[in-house]
Amino acid sequence: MSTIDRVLGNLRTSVLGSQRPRIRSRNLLDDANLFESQNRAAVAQQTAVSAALTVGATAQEQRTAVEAVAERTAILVTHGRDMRGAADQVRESLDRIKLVGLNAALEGARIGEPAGAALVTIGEEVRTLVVKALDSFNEHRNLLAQAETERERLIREIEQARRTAATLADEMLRAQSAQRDARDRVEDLGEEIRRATGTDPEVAKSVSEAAEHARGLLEALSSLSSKTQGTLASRSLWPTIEPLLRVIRDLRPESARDPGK
Amino acid sequence: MSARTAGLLVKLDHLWFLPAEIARKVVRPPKVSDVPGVPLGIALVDGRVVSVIRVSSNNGDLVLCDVNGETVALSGFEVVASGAFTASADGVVHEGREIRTFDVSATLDARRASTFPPPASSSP
Repeated sequence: MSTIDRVLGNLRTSVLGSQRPRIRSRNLLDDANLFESQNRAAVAQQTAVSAALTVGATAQEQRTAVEAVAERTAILVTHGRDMRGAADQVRESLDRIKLVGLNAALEGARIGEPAGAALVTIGEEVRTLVVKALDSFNEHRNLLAQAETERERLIREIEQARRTAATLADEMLRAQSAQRDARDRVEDLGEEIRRATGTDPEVAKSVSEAAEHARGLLEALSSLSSKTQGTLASRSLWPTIEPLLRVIRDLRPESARDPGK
Repeated sequence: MSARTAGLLVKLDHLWFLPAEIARKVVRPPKVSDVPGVPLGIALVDGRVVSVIRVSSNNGDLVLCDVNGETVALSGFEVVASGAFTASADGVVHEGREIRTFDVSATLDARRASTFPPPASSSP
């Protein structure tokens, strides 16, 4: 058996052995997997907290925007009230002008022809124009009334949106709080794992990485051993692999060491 | 050529004619106060207190009338036209229709009669 084959055999036993069910109470690779899972959960939780914060900030912006729309709508309502007041003034003036026309025509008719004819003509013309103006005014007032109805509907809908935005913002605050709580629980879980296993997470991580590299090395060497120029490759690799073998041998537990080798 | 007569056309249940000898002018409706127990109101018009006859419950302009030297206001009409109209036997003709004259004096007398009935004649 060549040296390479022996190294491969040792590596295979070491790496593949860790994937089998263990009877031993503890295995650093299992611990490393636990820590890795806990670490991923912590990262996911942190991402969730960040997302909740972002959504919360967006909800707050939306709430502010709705408040701004509500303020502008209130201004619109005030303008509408002013317009109604101005329209009432116009109506009052038109009514008075109509009376001027009626009285002028009455007075002109009372004076009689020919002195009063001009007065009658002017009075009738004024009355005719005012009647037309009043028709237009009534249309205008109907439009104002429709606009007012729409404004009132808008106010109700904005009020609903404002309540919804407030509820959303409150719920997002609760979600953020829950996410932070979950993050703390995941951190606690890491602490619990450390206490239960007695393993330093950094050591477990190093072991996990070493195992990962070992698997990679095993695969690469296995691939080399199947090639026709395996012996040449072994000779080239030997200066690198020999110190590695020494380190591996030193790492093996006493009980697993072969006293003859 | 038909005779022309001056006055107002007012609308109640239908059109009526108010001659210019009676109708003095049309004014915006002031606040009309009720007088308890009397089917007349009073209002302040151009600084003078005048009796107001409500011919209907409509809110319309007030027509100031001169009835036998007394100023009386009519309320509840809608004034639709003024000027000179073609005279007819019982009023005027307007747009081919006969418009009868509204008897303000009789209306005022009727209101007063209902409030202050004439004393019963005593037989000697």
